[in-house]
Amino acid sequence: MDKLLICEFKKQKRNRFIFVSIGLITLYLVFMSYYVNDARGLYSDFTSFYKQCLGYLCFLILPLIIAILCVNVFADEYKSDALKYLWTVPVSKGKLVFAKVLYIELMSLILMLFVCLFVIVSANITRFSQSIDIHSILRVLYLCAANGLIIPLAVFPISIFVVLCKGNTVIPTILSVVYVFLSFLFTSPGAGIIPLSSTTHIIWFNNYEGVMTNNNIEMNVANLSIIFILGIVFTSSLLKKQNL
Amino acid sequence: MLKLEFMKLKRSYLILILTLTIILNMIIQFYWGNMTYLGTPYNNRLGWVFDSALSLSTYYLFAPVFALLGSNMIEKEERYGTLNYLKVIPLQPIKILWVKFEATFIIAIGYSFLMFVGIALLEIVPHHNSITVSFLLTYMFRFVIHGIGSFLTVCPIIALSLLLKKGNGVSVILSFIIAFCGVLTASSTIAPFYPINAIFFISGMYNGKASQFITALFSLAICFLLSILICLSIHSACCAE
Amino acid sequence: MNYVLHTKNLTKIYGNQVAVDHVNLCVESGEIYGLLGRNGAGKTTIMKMMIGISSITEGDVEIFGNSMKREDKSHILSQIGCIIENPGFYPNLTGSENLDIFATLRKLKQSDVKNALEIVGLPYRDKKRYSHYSLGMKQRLGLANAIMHKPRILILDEPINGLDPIGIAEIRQFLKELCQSSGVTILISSHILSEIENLADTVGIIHDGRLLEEVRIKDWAKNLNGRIVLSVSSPSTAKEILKKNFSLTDNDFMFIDETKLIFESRDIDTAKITRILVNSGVDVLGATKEKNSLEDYFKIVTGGNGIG
Repeated sequence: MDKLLICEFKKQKRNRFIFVSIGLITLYLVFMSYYVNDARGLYSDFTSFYKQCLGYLCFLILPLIIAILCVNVFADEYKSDALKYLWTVPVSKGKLVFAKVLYIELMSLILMLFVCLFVIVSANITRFSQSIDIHSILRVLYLCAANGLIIPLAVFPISIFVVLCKGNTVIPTILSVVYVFLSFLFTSPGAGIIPLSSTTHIIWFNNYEGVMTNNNIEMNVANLSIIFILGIVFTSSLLKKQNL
Repeated sequence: MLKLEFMKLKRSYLILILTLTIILNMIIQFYWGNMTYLGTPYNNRLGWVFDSALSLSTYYLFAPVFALLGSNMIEKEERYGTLNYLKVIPLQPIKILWVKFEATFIIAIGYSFLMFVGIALLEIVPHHNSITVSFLLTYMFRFVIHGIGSFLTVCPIIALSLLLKKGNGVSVILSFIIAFCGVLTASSTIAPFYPINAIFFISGMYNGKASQFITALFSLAICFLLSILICLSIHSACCAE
Repeated sequence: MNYVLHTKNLTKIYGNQVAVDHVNLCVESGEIYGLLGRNGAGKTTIMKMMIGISSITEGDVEIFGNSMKREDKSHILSQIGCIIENPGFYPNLTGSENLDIFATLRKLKQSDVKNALEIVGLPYRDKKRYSHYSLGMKQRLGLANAIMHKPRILILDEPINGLDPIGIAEIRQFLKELCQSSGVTILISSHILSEIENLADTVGIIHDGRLLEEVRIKDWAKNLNGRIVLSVSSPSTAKEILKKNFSLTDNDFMFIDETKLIFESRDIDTAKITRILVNSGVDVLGATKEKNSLEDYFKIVTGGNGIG
């Protein structure tokens, strides 16, 4: 498994997607930091600052980036035609899928740790530096880590469509866009039904920043876990049955 | 050549998926429209569904879909190696790019028109007594303008996708961010300058001053000119090779 | 017979189309087996079923006595090296980096990667990405990947595609040495019949999904029916004389026009033919004996126009 994970990283050498994603996130955060800093009447402390910065990022941008990363990671195997050679090594289909999950998790975590650093640094150089304390920093760290680890689980089932379409990226990408924006629009009614909506209620649980969440955390966790496990099972079994 | 671009889309599931997104938008608007405020459903007001659908489509749907379509058309030629055969005909790279822009533009108009038709059904059914032809034509005009405006906004992104190897994914993310940032800038002073908000000024959804209208037109024109500049740079780079 | 690779009524059906129709082929240990067939005959489909990347509709494939239909094929696959259709590698990585990935998965050392690249004539640790490789370089890298882990069987689908004549000769030499020195069994498909003729010990001819013939090259060469090309003043008269004197039938004559006559030789002496014809009043302008090539044999077996 560790060898498969190492190979996943090796395969992405010279791949600019992650750097471009970091660039886009940076642009967004710069814009958002300026916007929040400028809106003196609306945002008064560090909590409101990071809530605004992380809000749209974690509801929309990060899920879309992770979804497209997931699509690319599977589609690349088909496009390069390396998949048939992987099967002749042989590499277990289940292990390959799991290695890709781990890779996506790690990349997502790296992205969100970068976001955490950026939020803390930009809060320090704007008018919110007075209201930063260790508790809020730890809270930001938790939110970023939680988003980084949990969102990929909700987004992973998109891989089923990549495998079904044998590496076609257009349809899974459109489905990703629809899934992300649906889960954003139906964050409240989608709790326990749409996995990406459920992640919001899991991560922002306890209303700490005044984010209204569904208190039935067990339902949300169950929804996310079931869909994620089904995603892995379906993807692996599709790969097993597929003729190349 | 335009006809050939559409031939290349034959047997593509893209049309099916785009139709599904229209149906999805209809379902969302139906659900929201029936939500009540002080006992009255939102869709009681004539035009509420149109306004809601138009905002949703412009801020979340049009830009990423058109960016994906355009960049995919360009990227496919490179990926399947057909770009070399086209250059050998000979076809200038700028001509190849231009035709793809034309095709995406036509799809943008078609998609926004179909979106209007789908949403119009939701308006017509509860308001069939009070709805007028001029009302429908106004909103049809708005939907098409929003489609064209969203297309113009993502033109530079489509042009850039030729330079990026994994152009599809990056163009979708970038256009998505650009589109939904419009939600944040909607009530600020820079709204007429920001392309996505500019579309609302041009279509008449926002009642702005004449100067704001002109600024909005200028904003979209800059997007278009930027895309032409990028295409010309790519063309001269290809010719230099 | 020690068969390392054996197909039993191997069949593949796509919808209503039978792509491979009850193929029974046997590859002995340490031999080079050439699979010949036109485009779309089913060669690649057979190879895909052998290595398990395409499901088998009916029948079975046995490699080292183990069925390829079983769930756990890992210990069999680790002894197989293959090139199927085009080599598949990651375009953003260099040749060495691509092989590194497969070496890591196969638990091989760096020296194995280096050796494999040396054998196929590709540089080790260069900076050229796979997307910039020529077709020949891509084929060589595919071959390097196939031999890197020292497999006991090589399944090669048109491995000399895109190689220059020197490259073809090098690969031919390499495969022969591999077979002779290490006892590696090789199943190879190619369109270049002359290469298969020089390389293979046994040839299997596939046509429309069916295995028509399996021929050992040595035996075929021995029983080779060549042909005689006669340039005569009156080919029709010559034909009648030859039929009478050598018990030939109309079927033995392949070609006849105003000046030329071609027929199967069956060890008939050309000097004798010339003498008989001249004595019968037919002028003989030329008499040559030609060997049937593999292409000719292929045409006869498939009843078609050749390998194209």
